[in-house]
Amino acid sequence: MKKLLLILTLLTPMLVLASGDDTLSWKPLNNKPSYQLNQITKGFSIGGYYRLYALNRNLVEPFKVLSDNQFANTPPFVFGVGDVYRDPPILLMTASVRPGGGASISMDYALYSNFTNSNGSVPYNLNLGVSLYGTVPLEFGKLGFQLGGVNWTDVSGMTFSSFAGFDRFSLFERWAWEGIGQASDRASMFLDTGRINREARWANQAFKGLLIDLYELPYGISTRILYGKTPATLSLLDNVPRFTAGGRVRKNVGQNHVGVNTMNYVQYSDSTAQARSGIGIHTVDVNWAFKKFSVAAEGGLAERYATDGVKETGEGVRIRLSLDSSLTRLPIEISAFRLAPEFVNYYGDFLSGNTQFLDGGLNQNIGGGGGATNFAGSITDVGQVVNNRQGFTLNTWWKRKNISINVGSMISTELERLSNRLSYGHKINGQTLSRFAPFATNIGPYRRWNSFYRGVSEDVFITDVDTAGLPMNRLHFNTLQLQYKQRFKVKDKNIYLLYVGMYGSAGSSFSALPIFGDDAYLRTNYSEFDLIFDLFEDIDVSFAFGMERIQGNSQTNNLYYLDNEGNLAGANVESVSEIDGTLIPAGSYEGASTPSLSYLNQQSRMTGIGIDVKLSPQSGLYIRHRRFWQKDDGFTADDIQGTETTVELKVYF
Amino acid sequence: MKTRYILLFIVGLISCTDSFGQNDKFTVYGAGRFVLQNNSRSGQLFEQSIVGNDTIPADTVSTRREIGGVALFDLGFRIKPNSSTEINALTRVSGDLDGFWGAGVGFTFRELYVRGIVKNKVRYRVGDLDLKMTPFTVYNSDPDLGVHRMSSLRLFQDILEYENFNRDNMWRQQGAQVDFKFSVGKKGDRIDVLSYITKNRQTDYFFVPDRLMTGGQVAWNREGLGRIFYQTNNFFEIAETAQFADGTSATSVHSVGAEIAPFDNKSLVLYGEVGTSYQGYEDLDNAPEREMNGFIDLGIRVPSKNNKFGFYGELLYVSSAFRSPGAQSRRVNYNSTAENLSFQTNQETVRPLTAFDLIQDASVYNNTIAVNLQNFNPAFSNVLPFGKATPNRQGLLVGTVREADSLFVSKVGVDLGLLTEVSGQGISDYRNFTMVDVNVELALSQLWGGQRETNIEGHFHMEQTARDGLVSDSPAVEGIGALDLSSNYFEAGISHEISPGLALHIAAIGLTANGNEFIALRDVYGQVNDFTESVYDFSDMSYMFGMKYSFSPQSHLQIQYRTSDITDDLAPTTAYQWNQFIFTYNMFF
Repeated sequence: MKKLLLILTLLTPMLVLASGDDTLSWKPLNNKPSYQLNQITKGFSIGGYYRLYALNRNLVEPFKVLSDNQFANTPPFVFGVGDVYRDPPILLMTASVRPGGGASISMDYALYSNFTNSNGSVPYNLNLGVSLYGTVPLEFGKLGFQLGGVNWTDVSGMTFSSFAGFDRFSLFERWAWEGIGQASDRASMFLDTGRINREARWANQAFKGLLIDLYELPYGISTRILYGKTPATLSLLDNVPRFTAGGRVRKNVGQNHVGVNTMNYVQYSDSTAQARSGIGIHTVDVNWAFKKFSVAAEGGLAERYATDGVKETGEGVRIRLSLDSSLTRLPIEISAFRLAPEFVNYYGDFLSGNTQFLDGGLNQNIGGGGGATNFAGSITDVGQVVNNRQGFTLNTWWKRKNISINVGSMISTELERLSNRLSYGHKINGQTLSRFAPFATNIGPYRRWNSFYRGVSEDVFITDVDTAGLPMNRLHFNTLQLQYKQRFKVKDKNIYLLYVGMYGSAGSSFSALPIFGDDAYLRTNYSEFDLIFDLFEDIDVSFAFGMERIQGNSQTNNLYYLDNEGNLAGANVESVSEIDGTLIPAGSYEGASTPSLSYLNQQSRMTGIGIDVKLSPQSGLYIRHRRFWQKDDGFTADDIQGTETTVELKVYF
Repeated sequence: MKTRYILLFIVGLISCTDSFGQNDKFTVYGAGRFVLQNNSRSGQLFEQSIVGNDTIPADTVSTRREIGGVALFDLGFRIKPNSSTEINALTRVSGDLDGFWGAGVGFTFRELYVRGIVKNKVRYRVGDLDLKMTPFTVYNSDPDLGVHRMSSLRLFQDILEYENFNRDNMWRQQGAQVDFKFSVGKKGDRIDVLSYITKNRQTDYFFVPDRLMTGGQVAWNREGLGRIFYQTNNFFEIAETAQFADGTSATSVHSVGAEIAPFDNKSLVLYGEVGTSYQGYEDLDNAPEREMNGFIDLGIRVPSKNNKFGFYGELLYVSSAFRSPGAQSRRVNYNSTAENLSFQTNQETVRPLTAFDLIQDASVYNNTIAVNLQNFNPAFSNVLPFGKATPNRQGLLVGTVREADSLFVSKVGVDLGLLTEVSGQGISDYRNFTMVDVNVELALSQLWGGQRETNIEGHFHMEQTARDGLVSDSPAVEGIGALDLSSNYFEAGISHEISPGLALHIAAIGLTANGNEFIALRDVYGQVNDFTESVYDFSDMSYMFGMKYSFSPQSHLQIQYRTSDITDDLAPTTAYQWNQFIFTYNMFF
């Protein structure tokens, strides 16, 4: 060893400069160094946002839940960071690389640190995942693709999209997808354009896999191909093959088009991948604008097939005619629709029920999964059509510089009697209530709550039924919505008054307008007021008031129970002893052990105040405080009262 | 011995200490990939069969179809605190196609190393190393069925090598290395020194001790003439790292070699390497005695220049117990389970690997060095299953090659191996091996001067193994040990560029094997203690077509449909057809 050290010491002055790759082991990987951080636009970039969302909820009484329910842990007092949803994270950081040649890749780190005192050990995840993109110039057009992670996309309204609606919303609520605009800026845009600024997911659907677009093809042709997964066709746990496949071919003429569309949800229900079931929907759509009117129509067939050989096919069609104000003084949009009971699609712009006979993930009527639960009997917003119904909608708008009014009405009738269940959603406190127990089915003191992503619906049952348990008549639904927006000027300050109201009903006979009396099985009434002040240059103040009233008539249930198959059911009885089923095991709750004092008669209120502070062009602070209550004169265990305060700090980078 | 190696390395490290100035620089590197597969299986396997008087029930358990995919993003950070230091860290985030809203996401760490140059003279690297010396010391030999360069398979090959760190026949190890050069004699003459130490195996703290690998190379380079070198590679275990370790083993390889170009125009190269190996054990029961073995490799090479053919010929001798783990470790792991359609039959047996598994499935490859000879499948590779360092081989390797992009025959290469065993296995007779490997690429577009490339590519590999059995007057003994195994593998394909960067391809590959072979069963010390006879009579054919778009030389999108027919005449009821649609988008950056 000494000799070795001596030799090395003597040789040290003879060291020569290192050069090249002349040492066998030194050859680097064939990865060329690429992009420097200070040259972001050339290749590597990081973007995203920070969103701290602190929440304090204080209920006067604990939310009444059933002891056997897994969500029976809703605390009356919550003080923390983040709400119960994983989306959005506290930090979303999207890293992207563009190596050149039209190829690129990105992923979005979703970093959660909700002040849980898990210092140094907070797990993190991806939000939408790893996505790869590319564009390929072809001699006959261009090819673009999005691969891998969740991408928000569409095919056509009925086949793959989500309901865009008519933006009849209150602006008070800060949703997860809100940007950093001040309340007055958002109100101004809302009044002037009728639109609310939203991110890419709006009106689109989440898709994961292979998404290919061929565009700028000869003769104005474009196509989109999807092959991969939607939440209904996942197989992460059981490895049984499932997939979603579809696409469209369009002939484009300027902004107009005629297209053929298809979407298919296929699953194998056995490990050997032989028993196949699924849903397929195939449509033709046209969207054509003429000088003074435009036509948008879509129609086609949907099929459902089960592993036991049952196969059903149904038609669906919707036509919308938009008339320019030069023809009718006011712009008017009229649409007609007819969607057969078998016309089913979870990821279209209409709601679907009636999939009970399908297996596994394709039977979304089991509810609670966060996807499309059973809304088949629901009273919906104008334009939100539902299968097993036919009907009309009418919308019109009137606008002056500082005032905007729009009215919408929808009339629809069931095609078949399929269920005695009706459902209704909450508008004024929907997100607040959904945080009590997210993605849960049949919860609450009467098991009538169903919560989905940032919303809650409740069920009520028609008891005027035949021997099969179905309503005596087909149901008729009406919805009437009114929106009023006005801007006042007080010195140099803007004040915005926003109102949106809705009245809906479900009855046994046709009516041109919603039924306001007890003839309706179910009536829903919502009113929301916003008053927004541009108080200082960078500080806005919002006030909000909302009220809801939901009423059932004497032909609906006064008792909830579990039928012999364990499903929630409703009965109209004098005594609980008449029930052929299982009483909901909550003796301390009046409505569960004895019939309620009256039929559904639920009222809700909210009053709120909000402050928006613009911290910089890329950041803002948003505070919301609401006092809310909900009670039901008949089902008295439905008694919720409390406050919720949220503080949101959002910074884009 | 181990102390000596460690000290040698420490001396190298000490000479590297220095202080650095600050020169901030940050770059990223890595890869991205999306793969979507739809695999389906059909065939006799799923039908009831009658063999003789037996009714073989249909397979009612195995899946007929699998659909899946993954997207991954390898994001590496290359940090240069100054001009002579570089830190590389590569992270991987993968997302399963079936995972929505954060489910199915995996985070792993693929590599981390620091490298630098001290006073612009001594280079070092600590962390993940990529090591390669010669095919007898440290060398990651090409896998069974070779390296797939055909345009329809090239993307898979790139991914395999990237996933398993196999590029340029290197082995990925973790440790540290140092190299530097001394100027000696005339201008340009120098001595290159390389040394490294790696941790080849992590202890379990109870029974399995740490195993280190050390080694290095000293090469004297004579400007304009060539070089001579000495190199060594050593494995040794440290018993103290495992509380209840029975004993330890050590393996050493030493070699000297030269590569001389006697003429100024370097039209002829003489090369050779001679070496020894030692394998010894301490405190292990029934361990064999320390034994020395060796190898000799002498060759002559005429490099291919100016569109002319080049030639080589070499004589190879590797003794029967020569052990060089760094060179003999295999890439393909026949004990692994394929990722796709992994099981078959009602008993859910592991599906035997097919040729396409080797082409496409990174999970069937080893990615580290093993000290014992690993299992191999003679039907896939039997002549040199452990590379040129395969023990118990002697014979002649010759070949010719020409690469000329501008000619119709743009590439042609022929390799021939004629080998025998050094000592008989089980009987005194030797196996005789014949290996023929032909590669051809035809640039059809050269015929008509077309702007768009149309290429025909072909690869044929044939192996023949034969041995006479025992000669005896006793019929009970006569012929025992006789074997005759032949296997043929081919790849053939046509690719045609239809627009810049976009090419269509159609191709076929096939592997057939027929005959029998006696596979040596080895004990924990690698010594043969028995044989098992395997009989082969199968055909594994695949046909594919697809298209590939190249965004850049390192970013490709490929869509391919393939159908494979796997039949085994010795087990006809397990024949099946495997259809695959595979969409692959891969980028390195």
